[in-house]
Amino acid sequence: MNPIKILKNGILDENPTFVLVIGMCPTLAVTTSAINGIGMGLSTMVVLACSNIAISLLRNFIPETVRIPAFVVIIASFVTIVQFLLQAYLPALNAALGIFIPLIVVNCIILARAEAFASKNNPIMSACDGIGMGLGFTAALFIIGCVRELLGAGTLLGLTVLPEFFPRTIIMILPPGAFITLGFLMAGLNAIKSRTRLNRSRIKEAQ
Amino acid sequence: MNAKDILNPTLRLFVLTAVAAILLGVVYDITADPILQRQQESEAAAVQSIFATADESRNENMSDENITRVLSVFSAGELIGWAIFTSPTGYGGSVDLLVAIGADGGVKGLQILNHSETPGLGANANSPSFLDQYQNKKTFVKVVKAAPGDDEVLAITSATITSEAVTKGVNNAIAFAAQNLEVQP
Repeated sequence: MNPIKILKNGILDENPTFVLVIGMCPTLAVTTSAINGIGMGLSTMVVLACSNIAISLLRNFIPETVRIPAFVVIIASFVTIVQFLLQAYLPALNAALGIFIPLIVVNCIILARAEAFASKNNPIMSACDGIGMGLGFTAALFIIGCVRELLGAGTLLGLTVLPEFFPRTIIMILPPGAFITLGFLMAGLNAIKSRTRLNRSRIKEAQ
Repeated sequence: MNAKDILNPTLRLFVLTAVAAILLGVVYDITADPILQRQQESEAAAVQSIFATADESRNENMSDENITRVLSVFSAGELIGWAIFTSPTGYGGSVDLLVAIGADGGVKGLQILNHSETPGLGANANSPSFLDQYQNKKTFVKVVKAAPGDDEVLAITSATITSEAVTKGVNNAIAFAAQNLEVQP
């Protein structure tokens, strides 16, 4: 496997939100606006890449039988250290992303990638996997955030887009709106996927 | 399963957690002072942004079950108001507020210093359109969902708990000032 393939795998083939359907809790909670989606996605990406590297480096030290508690300890310590450092030295970034950081600890994408990828691959591959998955997560959160913000508040990235007379659908920025948006987006993506698969098999038959 | 299979993972897990604990301790120790300093800086900036003419503030050493700290704010030696710190409970934990009370006992402004409300919903409380509603309120404030009157504020859409929390903080500050501070109506 080459790094580019791993990146693409995280963004498209195994997109954490639309394909693997992991990390649903922050996905549903923070996607009330597009900018929140980007903030959460990028913070997760940084933590995911770093925790993947740490787990990959320690993969021969961590015994098979207690790997889950070991992963949890590493991830939680790592996130807490990042939070302290942000609070102390990068107050501007902390003000923008601070609320997302505690949410990352409970994000199962991090644990899932530690288990499925980083504990079996070298640090460079693991970093690529973290970045790919992080970008896939960011893209998914951004799309969901755009839909919800547009329909729920009539704005996009904080700018008013829909005219005043267009009704705002409050339910879209409430938790049910997250499920509705996610459902439609997943259905749409699956429809596109099955159509391309059908086309491919037709082309093959024609040959 | 023999003794080695149990001892080995136990020891390794112990080493991992011990290293993690030491690292956390060290980082906490290094960052504790800068974090405290940042908080004080942002507090000072918050006081300054409400009382533009303030040039001195004094810690009053006052508190009760709702109020954590009170600063008297002076301009050219004259008392112009108080900065009251209170932390009512919102939807996602405590909402740290600075409520500025003028010398007449009315709300001069307020700032949310720290919160963990839901991004996009409760977090919207931290906007001028909501916070400015408390301007000049002197008596008990109530939260309503439509057409706010004199002593009422309009709740944030789908964040009633956060709106109630901020209002509780403001009410606590108004009541504290009326009871314990030398307000000149």
